[in-house]
Amino acid sequence: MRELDSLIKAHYRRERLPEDRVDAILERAKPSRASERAWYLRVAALAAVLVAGFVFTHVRITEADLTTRVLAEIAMNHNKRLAVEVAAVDYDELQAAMDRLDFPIQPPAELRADYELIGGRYCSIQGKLAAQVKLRARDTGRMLTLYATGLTPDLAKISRQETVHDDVRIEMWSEGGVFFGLADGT
Amino acid sequence: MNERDLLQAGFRYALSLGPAPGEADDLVQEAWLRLHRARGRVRDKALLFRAIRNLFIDNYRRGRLVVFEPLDGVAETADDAVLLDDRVTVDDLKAPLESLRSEEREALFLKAVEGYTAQEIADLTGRPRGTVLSLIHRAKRKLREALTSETGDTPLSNRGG
Repeated sequence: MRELDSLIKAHYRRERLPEDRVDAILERAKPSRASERAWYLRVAALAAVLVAGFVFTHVRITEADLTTRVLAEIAMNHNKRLAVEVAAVDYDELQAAMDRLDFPIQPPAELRADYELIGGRYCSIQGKLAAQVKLRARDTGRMLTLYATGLTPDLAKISRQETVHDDVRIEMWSEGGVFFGLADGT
Repeated sequence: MNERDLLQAGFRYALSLGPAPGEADDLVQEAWLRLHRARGRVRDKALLFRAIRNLFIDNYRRGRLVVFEPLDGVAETADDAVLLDDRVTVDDLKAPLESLRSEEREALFLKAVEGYTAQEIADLTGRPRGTVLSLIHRAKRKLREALTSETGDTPLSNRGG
Protein backbone atom coordinates (compact mmCIF):
# COMPACT_ATOMS: atom_id res chain seq x y z
CA MET A 1 0.00 0.00 0.00
CA ARG A 2 1.21 3.52 -0.72
CA GLU A 3 0.42 6.61 1.29
CA LEU A 4 -1.33 9.43 -0.56
CA ASP A 5 0.84 12.13 1.03
CA SER A 6 4.01 10.46 -0.29
CA LEU A 7 2.56 10.35 -3.80
CA ILE A 8 1.59 14.01 -3.60
CA LYS A 9 5.08 14.91 -2.43
CA ALA A 10 6.63 12.89 -5.26
CA HIS A 11 4.31 14.54 -7.78
CA TYR A 12 5.33 18.07 -6.81
CA ARG A 13 9.01 17.23 -6.40
CA ARG A 14 9.00 16.30 -10.10
CA GLU A 15 7.84 19.80 -11.02
CA ARG A 16 10.79 22.13 -11.56
CA LEU A 17 11.46 25.44 -13.21
CA PRO A 18 13.99 24.86 -15.99
CA GLU A 19 17.48 25.88 -14.84
CA ASP A 20 17.83 28.50 -17.58
CA ARG A 21 14.58 30.08 -16.33
CA VAL A 22 15.97 30.14 -12.78
CA ASP A 23 19.14 31.77 -14.12
CA ALA A 24 17.07 34.40 -15.95
CA ILE A 25 15.02 35.28 -12.85
CA LEU A 26 18.09 35.54 -10.62
CA GLU A 27 19.86 37.67 -13.23
CA ARG A 28 16.89 40.04 -13.50
CA ALA A 29 16.81 40.44 -9.74
CA LYS A 30 20.47 41.46 -9.55
CA PRO A 31 20.83 45.19 -9.04
CA SER A 32 22.90 46.91 -11.72
CA ARG A 33 25.86 49.03 -10.62
CA ALA A 34 23.96 52.13 -11.72
CA SER A 35 20.96 51.21 -9.61
CA GLU A 36 23.24 50.41 -6.63
CA ARG A 37 24.84 53.87 -6.95
CA ALA A 38 21.36 55.39 -7.26
CA TRP A 39 20.29 53.54 -4.08
CA TYR A 40 23.29 54.88 -2.15
CA LEU A 41 22.56 58.39 -3.42
CA ARG A 42 18.90 58.08 -2.34
CA VAL A 43 19.92 56.90 1.14
CA ALA A 44 22.46 59.73 1.40
CA ALA A 45 19.85 62.26 0.25
CA LEU A 46 17.33 60.88 2.75
CA ALA A 47 19.91 61.06 5.55
CA ALA A 48 20.70 64.68 4.60
CA VAL A 49 16.99 65.53 4.63
CA LEU A 50 16.55 63.90 8.05
CA VAL A 51 19.55 65.72 9.53
CA ALA A 52 18.40 69.05 8.11
CA GLY A 53 14.88 68.38 9.34
CA PHE A 54 16.10 67.44 12.83
CA VAL A 55 17.92 70.76 13.14
CA PHE A 56 14.92 72.60 11.76
CA THR A 57 12.39 71.13 14.18
CA HIS A 58 14.29 72.47 17.17
CA VAL A 59 13.47 76.05 16.12
CA ARG A 60 10.34 77.32 17.91
CA ILE A 61 7.50 78.11 15.51
CA THR A 62 3.88 79.09 15.93
CA GLU A 63 1.05 76.71 15.07
CA ALA A 64 0.10 78.83 12.05
CA ASP A 65 3.68 78.75 10.81
CA LEU A 66 3.77 74.99 11.34
CA THR A 67 0.52 74.45 9.44
CA THR A 68 1.78 76.56 6.55
CA ARG A 69 5.11 74.74 6.49
CA VAL A 70 3.47 71.30 6.48
CA LEU A 71 1.06 72.35 3.73
CA ALA A 72 3.95 73.70 1.67
CA GLU A 73 5.94 70.50 2.18
CA ILE A 74 3.04 68.26 1.17
CA ALA A 75 2.21 70.43 -1.87
CA MET A 76 5.85 70.50 -2.98
CA ASN A 77 6.22 66.71 -2.68
CA HIS A 78 2.89 66.17 -4.45
CA ASN A 79 3.86 68.43 -7.35
CA LYS A 80 7.19 66.63 -7.81
CA ARG A 81 5.18 63.59 -8.98
CA LEU A 82 7.93 61.17 -8.05
CA ALA A 83 7.39 57.50 -8.90
CA VAL A 84 6.73 54.96 -6.18
CA GLU A 85 9.71 52.99 -4.92
CA VAL A 86 7.60 50.08 -3.70
CA ALA A 87 4.68 48.76 -5.72
CA ALA A 88 2.04 47.14 -3.53
CA VAL A 89 -1.56 46.03 -3.76
CA ASP A 90 -2.35 45.83 -0.06
CA TYR A 91 -1.23 47.79 2.99
CA ASP A 92 0.29 44.77 4.73
CA GLU A 93 2.62 44.29 1.78
CA LEU A 94 3.49 48.00 1.75
CA GLN A 95 4.12 48.04 5.49
CA ALA A 96 6.41 45.02 5.22
CA ALA A 97 8.36 46.59 2.36
CA MET A 98 8.74 49.99 4.05
CA ASP A 99 10.20 48.56 7.20
CA ARG A 100 11.98 51.74 8.31
CA LEU A 101 8.64 53.23 9.29
CA ASP A 102 7.72 53.06 12.98
CA PHE A 103 3.98 53.69 12.53
CA PRO A 104 1.14 51.86 10.77
CA ILE A 105 0.33 53.11 7.26
CA GLN A 106 -3.33 51.98 7.32
CA PRO A 107 -5.56 54.92 6.26
CA PRO A 108 -9.23 55.17 7.30
CA ALA A 109 -11.55 52.46 6.00
CA GLU A 110 -13.47 54.77 3.69
CA LEU A 111 -10.24 55.77 1.99
CA ARG A 112 -9.28 52.12 1.52
CA ALA A 113 -12.72 51.37 0.08
CA ASP A 114 -12.74 54.25 -2.43
CA TYR A 115 -9.10 54.22 -3.49
CA GLU A 116 -6.86 51.50 -4.88
CA LEU A 117 -3.33 51.29 -3.49
CA ILE A 118 -0.57 51.71 -6.08
CA GLY A 119 2.55 51.85 -3.93
CA GLY A 120 4.72 54.11 -1.82
CA ARG A 121 8.06 55.77 -1.26
CA TYR A 122 9.86 57.29 1.68
CA CYS A 123 9.76 61.02 2.27
CA SER A 124 9.81 63.29 5.31
CA ILE A 125 7.45 65.70 7.01
CA GLN A 126 9.04 68.29 9.24
CA GLY A 127 12.18 66.19 9.46
CA LYS A 128 10.39 63.01 10.48
CA LEU A 129 10.50 59.94 8.25
CA ALA A 130 7.20 59.64 6.41
CA ALA A 131 5.48 57.55 3.78
CA GLN A 132 4.20 58.96 0.50
CA VAL A 133 1.49 56.59 -0.72
CA LYS A 134 0.00 56.74 -4.24
CA LEU A 135 -3.73 56.04 -4.47
CA ARG A 136 -6.05 55.79 -7.46
CA ALA A 137 -9.81 56.42 -7.25
CA ARG A 138 -11.65 53.21 -8.09
CA ASP A 139 -14.43 55.02 -10.01
CA THR A 140 -12.58 57.83 -11.87
CA GLY A 141 -8.95 56.71 -11.91
CA ARG A 142 -7.87 60.05 -10.41
CA MET A 143 -4.52 59.87 -8.59
CA LEU A 144 -4.11 61.13 -5.04
CA THR A 145 -1.16 61.11 -2.70
CA LEU A 146 -1.45 60.21 0.98
CA TYR A 147 1.30 61.32 3.36
CA ALA A 148 1.64 59.60 6.71
CA THR A 149 4.05 60.00 9.58
CA GLY A 150 4.13 59.30 13.30
CA LEU A 151 2.32 61.95 15.30
CA THR A 152 4.70 64.33 17.05
CA PRO A 153 3.70 66.92 19.70
CA ASP A 154 4.10 69.64 17.05
CA LEU A 155 2.03 67.86 14.39
CA ALA A 156 -0.64 67.14 17.01
CA LYS A 157 -1.19 70.89 17.26
CA ILE A 158 -2.47 71.01 13.65
CA SER A 159 -6.27 70.84 13.70
CA ARG A 160 -8.23 68.79 11.15
CA GLN A 161 -8.65 70.96 8.07
CA GLU A 162 -8.95 71.05 4.32
CA THR A 163 -7.37 73.84 2.31
CA VAL A 164 -5.71 74.65 -1.01
CA HIS A 165 -2.00 75.41 -1.12
CA ASP A 166 -0.04 75.97 -4.36
CA ASP A 167 -3.08 74.70 -6.34
CA VAL A 168 -3.08 71.45 -4.39
CA ARG A 169 -6.12 70.57 -2.30
CA ILE A 170 -4.82 69.14 0.96
CA GLU A 171 -6.73 67.56 3.83
CA MET A 172 -4.84 67.04 7.09
CA TRP A 173 -5.85 65.11 10.18
CA SER A 174 -4.48 62.90 12.94
CA GLU A 175 -5.77 59.44 13.78
CA GLY A 176 -4.43 56.55 15.83
CA GLY A 177 -1.10 58.19 16.55
CA VAL A 178 -0.47 58.95 12.86
CA PHE A 179 -0.54 62.30 11.07
CA PHE A 180 -2.11 62.12 7.60
CA GLY A 181 -2.10 64.53 4.66
CA LEU A 182 -4.15 63.74 1.55
CA ALA A 183 -3.15 65.71 -1.54
CA ASP A 184 -5.21 66.09 -4.69
CA GLY A 185 -4.23 68.49 -7.44
CA THR A 186 -3.23 68.92 -11.03
CA MET B 1 17.93 27.02 1.58
CA ASN B 2 19.74 28.73 -1.31
CA GLU B 3 18.08 31.02 -3.83
CA ARG B 4 17.66 28.34 -6.49
CA ASP B 5 15.95 25.98 -4.03
CA LEU B 6 13.74 28.83 -2.83
CA LEU B 7 12.67 29.58 -6.39
CA GLN B 8 11.86 25.91 -6.99
CA ALA B 9 9.84 25.75 -3.75
CA GLY B 10 8.01 28.91 -4.76
CA PHE B 11 7.31 27.48 -8.23
CA ARG B 12 5.83 24.29 -6.77
CA TYR B 13 3.68 26.34 -4.37
CA ALA B 14 2.50 28.53 -7.25
CA LEU B 15 1.57 25.36 -9.15
CA SER B 16 -0.57 24.27 -6.22
CA LEU B 17 -2.58 27.49 -6.53
CA GLY B 18 -3.41 27.21 -10.24
CA PRO B 19 -3.07 24.40 -12.78
CA ALA B 20 -1.29 26.11 -15.68
CA PRO B 21 2.53 25.85 -15.53
CA GLY B 22 2.86 29.13 -17.44
CA GLU B 23 0.89 30.98 -14.79
CA ALA B 24 3.00 29.49 -12.00
CA ASP B 25 6.19 30.59 -13.78
CA ASP B 26 4.91 34.17 -14.04
CA LEU B 27 3.70 34.22 -10.44
CA VAL B 28 6.99 33.10 -8.94
CA GLN B 29 9.01 35.46 -11.12
CA GLU B 30 6.87 38.50 -10.30
CA ALA B 31 6.84 37.68 -6.57
CA TRP B 32 10.61 37.17 -6.55
CA LEU B 33 11.30 40.46 -8.32
CA ARG B 34 8.90 42.39 -6.07
CA LEU B 35 10.55 41.03 -2.93
CA HIS B 36 13.98 41.82 -4.33
CA ARG B 37 12.95 45.40 -5.12
CA ALA B 38 11.53 45.82 -1.62
CA ARG B 39 14.12 43.96 0.45
CA GLY B 40 17.25 43.47 -1.61
CA ARG B 41 17.19 39.68 -1.44
CA VAL B 42 14.86 36.79 -0.71
CA ARG B 43 15.71 34.42 2.14
CA ASP B 44 12.39 33.60 3.80
CA LYS B 45 10.26 30.87 2.20
CA ALA B 46 7.11 31.89 4.08
CA LEU B 47 7.55 35.49 2.86
CA LEU B 48 7.98 34.25 -0.73
CA PHE B 49 4.89 32.04 -0.42
CA ARG B 50 2.89 34.98 0.96
CA ALA B 51 4.00 37.23 -1.93
CA ILE B 52 3.06 34.55 -4.47
CA ARG B 53 -0.29 34.08 -2.81
CA ASN B 54 -1.07 37.81 -2.75
CA LEU B 55 -0.25 38.09 -6.45
CA PHE B 56 -2.42 35.08 -7.25
CA ILE B 57 -5.35 36.56 -5.31
CA ASP B 58 -4.84 39.94 -6.96
CA ASN B 59 -5.04 38.30 -10.41
CA TYR B 60 -8.38 36.82 -9.39
CA ARG B 61 -9.64 40.20 -8.11
CA ARG B 62 -9.05 41.65 -11.59
CA GLY B 63 -12.29 40.37 -13.11
CA ARG B 64 -12.14 36.59 -12.73
CA LEU B 65 -15.08 34.79 -11.20
CA VAL B 66 -14.39 33.03 -7.91
CA VAL B 67 -17.04 30.55 -6.78
CA PHE B 68 -17.04 29.35 -3.20
CA GLU B 69 -18.39 25.95 -2.26
CA PRO B 70 -19.75 25.34 1.22
CA LEU B 71 -17.33 23.35 3.35
CA ASP B 72 -18.08 20.03 5.00
CA GLY B 73 -19.57 20.16 8.48
CA VAL B 74 -16.97 18.76 10.87
CA ALA B 75 -13.25 19.40 10.55
CA GLU B 76 -11.24 16.27 11.27
CA THR B 77 -7.54 16.13 11.95
CA ALA B 78 -5.18 16.77 9.04
CA ASP B 79 -3.23 13.63 9.90
CA ASP B 80 -5.59 10.99 8.53
CA ALA B 81 -3.34 8.83 6.37
CA VAL B 82 -4.89 7.59 3.15
CA LEU B 83 -3.42 4.35 1.82
CA LEU B 84 -3.62 3.49 -1.83
CA ASP B 85 -3.13 0.37 -3.86
CA ASP B 86 0.45 -0.22 -5.01
CA ARG B 87 -0.71 0.08 -8.61
CA VAL B 88 -1.46 3.77 -8.14
CA THR B 89 1.48 5.78 -9.47
CA VAL B 90 2.52 9.41 -9.36
CA ASP B 91 1.31 9.78 -12.96
CA ASP B 92 -2.23 8.85 -11.86
CA LEU B 93 -2.29 11.84 -9.54
CA LYS B 94 -2.00 14.62 -12.12
CA ALA B 95 -5.59 14.80 -13.39
CA PRO B 96 -7.28 14.34 -9.97
CA LEU B 97 -5.04 17.06 -8.49
CA GLU B 98 -5.93 19.45 -11.29
CA SER B 99 -9.62 18.81 -10.66
CA LEU B 100 -9.36 20.01 -7.05
CA ARG B 101 -10.31 23.56 -6.19
CA SER B 102 -7.39 25.92 -5.83
CA GLU B 103 -7.80 26.33 -2.07
CA GLU B 104 -8.01 22.54 -1.58
CA ARG B 105 -4.90 21.91 -3.63
CA GLU B 106 -3.05 24.71 -1.86
CA ALA B 107 -3.86 23.41 1.63
CA LEU B 108 -2.97 19.85 0.64
CA PHE B 109 0.34 20.98 -0.90
CA LEU B 110 1.35 22.96 2.18
CA LYS B 111 0.53 20.00 4.42
CA ALA B 112 1.82 17.06 2.39
CA VAL B 113 4.79 18.63 0.58
CA GLU B 114 5.95 21.47 2.83
CA GLY B 115 4.99 19.76 6.11
CA TYR B 116 3.20 22.81 7.53
CA THR B 117 0.84 22.28 10.45
CA ALA B 118 -2.80 23.25 10.07
CA GLN B 119 -2.16 26.34 12.20
CA GLU B 120 0.81 27.37 10.07
CA ILE B 121 -1.32 26.99 6.95
CA ALA B 122 -4.06 29.01 8.62
CA ASP B 123 -1.56 31.79 9.42
CA LEU B 124 -0.20 31.82 5.86
CA THR B 125 -3.57 31.77 4.10
CA GLY B 126 -5.58 33.86 6.55
CA ARG B 127 -8.17 31.11 6.95
CA PRO B 128 -9.41 29.61 10.25
CA ARG B 129 -7.65 26.42 11.29
CA GLY B 130 -10.93 24.49 11.08
CA THR B 131 -11.38 25.61 7.48
CA VAL B 132 -7.86 24.43 6.64
CA LEU B 133 -8.57 21.02 8.15
CA SER B 134 -11.81 20.78 6.18
CA LEU B 135 -10.05 21.72 2.95
CA ILE B 136 -7.37 19.06 3.45
CA HIS B 137 -9.92 16.43 4.41
CA ARG B 138 -12.11 17.20 1.40
CA ALA B 139 -9.13 17.23 -0.98
CA LYS B 140 -7.95 13.84 0.24
CA ARG B 141 -11.45 12.44 -0.02
CA LYS B 142 -11.78 13.62 -3.62
CA LEU B 143 -8.39 12.20 -4.55
CA ARG B 144 -9.17 8.89 -2.87
CA GLU B 145 -12.46 8.61 -4.75
CA ALA B 146 -10.84 9.54 -8.07
CA LEU B 147 -7.94 7.12 -7.64
CA THR B 148 -10.20 4.32 -6.46
CA SER B 149 -12.42 4.61 -9.52
CA GLU B 150 -9.32 4.72 -11.79
CA THR B 151 -7.86 1.49 -10.44
CA GLY B 152 -11.27 -0.16 -10.07
CA ASP B 153 -10.32 -1.50 -6.66
CA THR B 154 -12.43 -1.99 -3.59
CA PRO B 155 -12.45 1.01 -1.23
CA LEU B 156 -9.04 2.01 0.04
CA SER B 157 -7.83 1.85 3.63
CA ASN B 158 -8.15 4.97 5.73
CA ARG B 159 -6.61 5.06 9.14
CA GLY B 160 -6.44 7.88 11.61
CA GLY B 161 -3.02 9.18 12.56
